[in-house]
Amino acid sequence: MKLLLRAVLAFCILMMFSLQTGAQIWISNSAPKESSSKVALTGMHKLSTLRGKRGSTKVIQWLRSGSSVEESLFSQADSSAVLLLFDPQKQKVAVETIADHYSSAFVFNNTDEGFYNLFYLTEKVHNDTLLIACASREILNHSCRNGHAKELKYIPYKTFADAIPMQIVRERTKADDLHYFVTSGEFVTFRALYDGKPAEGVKMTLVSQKGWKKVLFTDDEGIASFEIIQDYFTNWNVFDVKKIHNYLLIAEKTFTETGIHQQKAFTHIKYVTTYSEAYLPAKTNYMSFVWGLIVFFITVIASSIAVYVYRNRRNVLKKHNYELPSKY
Amino acid sequence: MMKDNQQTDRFQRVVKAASIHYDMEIGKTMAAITDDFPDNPAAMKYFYEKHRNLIRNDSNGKLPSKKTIATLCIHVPVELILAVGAIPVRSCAGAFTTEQLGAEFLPAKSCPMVKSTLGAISYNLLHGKVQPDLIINPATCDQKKKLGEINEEISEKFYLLEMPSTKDSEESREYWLQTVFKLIRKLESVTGNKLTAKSLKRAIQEVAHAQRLYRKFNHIRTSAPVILGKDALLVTNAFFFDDLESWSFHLNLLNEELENRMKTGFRVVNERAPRILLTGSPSVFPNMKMPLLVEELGGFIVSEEFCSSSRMLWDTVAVDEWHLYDMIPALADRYLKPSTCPNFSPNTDRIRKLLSAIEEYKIDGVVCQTFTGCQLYDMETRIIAKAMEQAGIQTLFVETDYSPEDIGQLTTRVEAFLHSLKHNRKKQLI
Amino acid sequence: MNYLQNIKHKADRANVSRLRFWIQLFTFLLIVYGGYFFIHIGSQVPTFACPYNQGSPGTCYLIAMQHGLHLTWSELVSYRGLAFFTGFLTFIGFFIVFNKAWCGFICPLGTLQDWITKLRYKIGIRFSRYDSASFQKLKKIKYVILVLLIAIPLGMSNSFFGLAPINHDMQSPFCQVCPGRTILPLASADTSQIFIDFTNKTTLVMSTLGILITALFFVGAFAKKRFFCFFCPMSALQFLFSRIGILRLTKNGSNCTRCGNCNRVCDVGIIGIAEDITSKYIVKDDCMMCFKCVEACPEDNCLDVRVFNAKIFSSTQEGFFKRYIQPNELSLKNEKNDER
Repeated sequence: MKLLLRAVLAFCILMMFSLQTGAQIWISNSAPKESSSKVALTGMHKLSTLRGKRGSTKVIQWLRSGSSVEESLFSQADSSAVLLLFDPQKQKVAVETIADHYSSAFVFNNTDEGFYNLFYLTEKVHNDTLLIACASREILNHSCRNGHAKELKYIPYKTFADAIPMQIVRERTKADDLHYFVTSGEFVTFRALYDGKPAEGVKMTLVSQKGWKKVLFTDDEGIASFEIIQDYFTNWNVFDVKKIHNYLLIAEKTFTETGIHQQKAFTHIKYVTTYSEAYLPAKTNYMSFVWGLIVFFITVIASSIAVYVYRNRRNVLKKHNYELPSKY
Repeated sequence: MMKDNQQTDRFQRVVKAASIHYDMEIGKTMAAITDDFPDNPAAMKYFYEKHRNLIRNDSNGKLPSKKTIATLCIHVPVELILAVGAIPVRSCAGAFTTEQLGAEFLPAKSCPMVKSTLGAISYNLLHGKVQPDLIINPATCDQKKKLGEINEEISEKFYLLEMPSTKDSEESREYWLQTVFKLIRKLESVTGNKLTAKSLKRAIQEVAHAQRLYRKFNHIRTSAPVILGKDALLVTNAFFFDDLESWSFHLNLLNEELENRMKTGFRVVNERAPRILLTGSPSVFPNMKMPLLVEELGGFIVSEEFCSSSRMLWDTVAVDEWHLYDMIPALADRYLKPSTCPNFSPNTDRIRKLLSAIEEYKIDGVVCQTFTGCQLYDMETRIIAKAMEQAGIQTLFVETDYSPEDIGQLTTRVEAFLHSLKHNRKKQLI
Repeated sequence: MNYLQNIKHKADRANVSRLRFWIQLFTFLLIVYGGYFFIHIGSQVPTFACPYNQGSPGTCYLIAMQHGLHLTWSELVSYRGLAFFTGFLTFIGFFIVFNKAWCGFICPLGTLQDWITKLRYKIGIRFSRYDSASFQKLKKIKYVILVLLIAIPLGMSNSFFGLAPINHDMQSPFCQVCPGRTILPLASADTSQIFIDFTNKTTLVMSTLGILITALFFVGAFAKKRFFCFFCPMSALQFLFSRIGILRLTKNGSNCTRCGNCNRVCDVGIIGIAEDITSKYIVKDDCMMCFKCVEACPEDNCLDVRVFNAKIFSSTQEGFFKRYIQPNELSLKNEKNDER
């Protein structure tokens, strides 16, 4: 009864959102409250995982709908949607969908090191527009426990022009290795690719964990650059330097093109692609304390050594080479 | 070389004859101390016996396994000697017999104590006839300084403890501290025992315990006339050679007896006896000429400012942290800073000490003795005379030595001095 | 009268250092946590009751003085100046009750240093002392700091010699470098004061200096007894009014043998206490009135602790030996003597 009520409620809100803004579907790493006890956040990238048999683990990601990181509803996958998963070698691998009354989750084995690309594609005609929505996510699989076979240098993004009409990729920086996290205050650059080529004038909306929004249009190289703002504020004594927040990026582009899709005629095609990734609080939040401690300990060690050496040299007993009790 | 000499007939004959003379001298002095006075405290018997048997070999009951270390001055830290498991014996001698033996090595005008000490060491006539394994000789006055060089047969046993000639500067403290460190090393090599924090702490505490009893003794004799100065001098003189533990034990018995005398109001002198403070060159047993003379003629010695008594026992060691790093400097300071030995310049502390004692012990007159040839004390008599004159204290300056020849002349002077003190007192009362 | 003499006699034999340890423990808890028990003793406390520490029951007068002097000349002669003046009088009122015993018995930083000293003593590492030349030079530093902490706040509001007023980042300059600010909040589990302030060059320098001094506080206190007190401007400020204190330490020079026992046990290493035989009021500018010197003095009535002119604790031979001889160290036959 309770579940039913919730499902109805979720449906109502879903409808409301979809009527107003055209709700965006996206893939999220955070579990709904009901499932959060079953999943564990593992690895340095805190991926949601399910514990399988004999200690094996599987990554689990949820489908969500809405344009807010925290408030978006968990939604069910459409039966007509296409679900694609590519492993770090760009090979298509199997992904399983687990659905309950109101949410769907995608589960897969992440055996290889590197970025897995997960895509969820739907196409439907709404009014006169063909809406091609793509929820995407790059899932970095790396655990330091397995060693560092690969050199710690950045892994370039991969394009899937054949499978995905409009793809968003995050530009890599030099620091972008297997351990990299974006932190607040840094600039993140995205590139919109249409048919594998940079797309100009794509409307990019970045939504932070707490709901701060920024809209940019891509330039002629398909690039839009956002500064991730700080939205984690807390007391110093409960400050979590590894606090994981997520941002959501929505890219939209409408083309004037007529056609028929599933017996419905349309005059426009609208591509909506979403992308979500995690970010950490900026180091500057605590670096002045770290420096305080560094200065403190360096001074303690240096002055202790100085005092020790000075006292040794001025030791009246050593000066005359006396063999006297060790206490001097 | 020394042993060779000791085998010789002459040496043996001299020792034999001197022993007899020395023993006679002791007997004579002891007879004067015990028989000429009534009311000797019963607890003094132990100290009388100790002195009677001064040069008899078995008198000290020392363990043969322990090394004996002779010291020639109060500036040697006895705590260190105790802490390395040796027996300290202060070997400054007061016998006329050994003075004559020592005259063989030294110029005629030398100090009698230095002569006597050198004679005693050279002919094995130290207290209890001990043969010390090491003789620590502090470089205080010029005569003591050269002592180790004169008789080459015994000079290998001498260890010169360097002394600064002033005690006020920081450099001298530093220098003295290093000398003490050197001494520790010497003591360790002679005894084969290491100085440890535990043993030194124990030694400091034992000496402090003895000092506590001595200060109590001093308090008693200065606040009530219950013991004569000649007895008090024997008590401190016994500290030279006696075992620390039994010395403390018997001093405590004496204190108890004297306290009883105080309670009953017993007096050893009458009220009119002038209260005398003795200072100057130290009276060492059996040279009790001056103290005996003063008290036989009706004076009452309340206190002495001698390096054979109060200066040796008064000052204490205070340690903040009971580790060697603090104990040794504390010990070094105790044997330098409060010393009023005239070899330090300036020595204003001696005047202050005398004045404070005069006031505190209600002294009527000061007797200041100087040994013939004791230049430093002789030079200080002028300074003392000036200070005493300013304070309005009558002072008798006496130059004497170990020989009994000047007794007659001294008797007249002391008698006149005591008479004038009594007269002055009467005037004050009127 | 006899009754009073009996009490005095007992007091002279007392072990004040042990008593001081317990008083220090109590006052440490009071000054560091008193605020949690709704204790408030005002903002003119003549010791390091650091307001950066949440549990502090009051405010150290140094911070109140630095704030109070942040005045222009015209303000200084107005009611604001009067407010400063009354605050100053309150400070003196507090101070004269205990005189410099504020340092020896109450100051939490002093207590902390004493505990560090105890730790070092347990381990058996020797302590350091200054030689007298360095002692005379270094003791002036605290007066320089005192002058600076008065001049800088005035220089922020006024222009000296036509120079531009000092940057406001220098507000409460001493607090910025005081180890009390960094250490005492730690007692309330507040580590937020251990930081480097990168706002600008001034704050960077001052906060780094603060951390440096905090580190030196610990290392110094381990190597030398009461290391920081030697440079403490509070000690300098207090000393200016030490003569009018109710609690006094006096010396009778004629009883002094200059044996140096007092200097040896002195945590600050004051030489004058042993060498000065003329002054009656013997409190020197580094003195913290711990009265260890009185305990270590083996002469009767040479050093006296007085309330106004009444002696409450004096040096005595008896007391000295009672404190310094530990009977269990002796194996003497006459042990009953120690009982008396």
